Amino acid sequence: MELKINNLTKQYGSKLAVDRFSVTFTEGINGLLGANGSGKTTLMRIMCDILRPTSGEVLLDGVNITTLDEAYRELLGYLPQYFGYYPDFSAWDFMLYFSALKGLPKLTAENRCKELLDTVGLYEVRKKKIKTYSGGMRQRLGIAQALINDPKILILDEPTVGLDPKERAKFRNIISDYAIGKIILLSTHIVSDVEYIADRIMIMKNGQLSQQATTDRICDSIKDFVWSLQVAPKDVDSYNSRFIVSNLKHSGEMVELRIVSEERPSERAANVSPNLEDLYLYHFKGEV
Amino acid sequence: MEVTILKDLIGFEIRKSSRRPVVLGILAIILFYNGLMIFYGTFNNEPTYGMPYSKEKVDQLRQEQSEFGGFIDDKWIQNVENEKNAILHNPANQISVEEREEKTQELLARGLSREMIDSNSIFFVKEEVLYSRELQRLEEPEVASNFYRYAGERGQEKANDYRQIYGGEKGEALASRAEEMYSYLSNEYRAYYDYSWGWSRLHAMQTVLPYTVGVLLIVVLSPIFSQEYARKTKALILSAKYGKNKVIKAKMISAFILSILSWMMIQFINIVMIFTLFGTEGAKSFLQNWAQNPSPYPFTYMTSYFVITAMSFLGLIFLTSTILFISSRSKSSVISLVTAGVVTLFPITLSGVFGGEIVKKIFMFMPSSVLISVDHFKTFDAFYIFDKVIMLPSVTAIFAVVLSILMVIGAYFSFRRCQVEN
Repeated sequence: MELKINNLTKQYGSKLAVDRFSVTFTEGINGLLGANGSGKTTLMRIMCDILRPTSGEVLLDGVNITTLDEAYRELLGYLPQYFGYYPDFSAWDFMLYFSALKGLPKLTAENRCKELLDTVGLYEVRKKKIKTYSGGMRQRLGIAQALINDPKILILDEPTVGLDPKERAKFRNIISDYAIGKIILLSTHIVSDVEYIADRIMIMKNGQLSQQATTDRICDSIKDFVWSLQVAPKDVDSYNSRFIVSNLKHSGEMVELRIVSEERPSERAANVSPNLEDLYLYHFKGEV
Repeated sequence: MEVTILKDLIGFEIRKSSRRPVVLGILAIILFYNGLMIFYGTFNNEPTYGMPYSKEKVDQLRQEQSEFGGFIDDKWIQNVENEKNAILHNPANQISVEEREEKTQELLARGLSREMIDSNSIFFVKEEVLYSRELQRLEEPEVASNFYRYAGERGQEKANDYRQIYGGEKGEALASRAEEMYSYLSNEYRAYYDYSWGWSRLHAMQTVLPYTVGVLLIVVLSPIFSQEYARKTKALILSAKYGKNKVIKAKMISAFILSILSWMMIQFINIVMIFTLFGTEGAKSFLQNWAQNPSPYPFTYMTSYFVITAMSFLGLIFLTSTILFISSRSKSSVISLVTAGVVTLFPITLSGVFGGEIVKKIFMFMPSSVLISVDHFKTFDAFYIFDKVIMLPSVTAIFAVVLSILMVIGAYFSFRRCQVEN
């Protein structure tokens, strides 16, 4: 199974939300990193066939998804950035409603709802109205509904918003378990969400694909640009204004800085191996 | 399986629309209001001139009017005349000789001729008899005696109006149709007189429908599509397998089911309550009230109710389609609610404010007017289209059907093609 984005562009007036974006997704977890407004959500909506592109196309195994229509949506699971719900529905009703919408027979639907609500820790409170749920509980319900039809293509737009660290860790485990034989696209601006579980990472900037690689190679492009350096506290401001400081740690009388820079910030600076957060900062230095 | 899923979706959509606290509140209010109108509503088109309900009045009218129950023919007219004369000429009901002389002088002084005074025995009837129920009960039958004459006159009047206003072929065609219809009432139709307050109240209650069924449907149905935009659930729906087809059908079917059930509930309540309170008599009776309701249609109250109910059903479908269309085009439930409310209720509320004939005619094509439907049959109203005279109810029905179909299709594609942009 291959999902190909072919020269996709979406323009709102004079603003290009997605700009000639091309990429091919294969099975596995694909992390889409980008700052707010970089075009991630627009791209995902087009991939879900709920937003028409200005030009370009999305092809599933060579066939345009708009031609596939229902057959494409049958394979699709989607969690939008802003998860909408019906306040007077219980989680159980909500899940059954979306089971019907996704074409699941009633008995299958009930078993699946039970299993998923149990997985996301909402089974015990399934009869309560959604309006009584906390933000985190609602987000977990959103994740459950996205998985209800056992989708072959799962698109998750900022899925960890509102989740506490424990819930985020659980979410990562659920997705990792689920990923086998499926195309998963997970957009986020929280680096740790994708760092541990993504097979491939794409960086989207100003509507364009800025960089893509497998997770273990994505940082190669900045392998010579990350530095560690100890400075006196009085010099911190100077470094902050001239470089991207990805971390700052007090160590006795001195301050240890982690700097992302193409040039060596100081003779005393030592090159260290980069991580995904460094890469993110390198790409979005003007936006953070 | 496809049908089962559609059924499941319809069930969920019905629950989504109806299981809201505001719906229960509105339902309670409209049921109370409907009951109130049955008891205390004042409907000027009724033969009882908008009298509120009272058990004594019902019993009295039933007794007085049922006494004359029958087809209006020469014998019936004569019978009414005889009854009246028997009261007027009864010596016991006449004033004394002295009083008679005094009254004659007074009338002569007012300029009346002696012949006129002598030929009108009513001048010499005791005052307490004049205002007695015995005599007043004959007023209605007396008016009914003139049914055929009034019908003929009305036809002539209408025909003259058309000839004067339009002239030419159009004027002549409309005039001829008016003459033909009223002439049928005047010469061939046999009107039946009976007590019929129950049936007239049932007809009058049609005018309340926009404030009961209409309001309920606005509240229940206006969020049906718009809430998906407002709650941001449209992204979830439209990306689901059946989100661009079956769920839209399910929404529409559930909307029509809810609207038909609401309408049937109100009609059923009206029938049961009104017939229990006012009685079922009068099904065969004529419904023309020549001052307020000069209908050219040869309907009895029962046939009229069937025709009006059928037309009202069409109005219900029209109203539902309109609300669905508005909902599919509104991005928020509030805008949808307000727009549907304005479209539904304003024409009815404002029809009394705008006096122009054209404006009134336009209002007749509004969904709420079609829902009421009684006004379409009240007078002779017709259009001259393609050299043919087509009566207002037919034109309205065709208009409502065509527009309903277009709006349902429009709503379907509006939601299907809706883009998730923010």
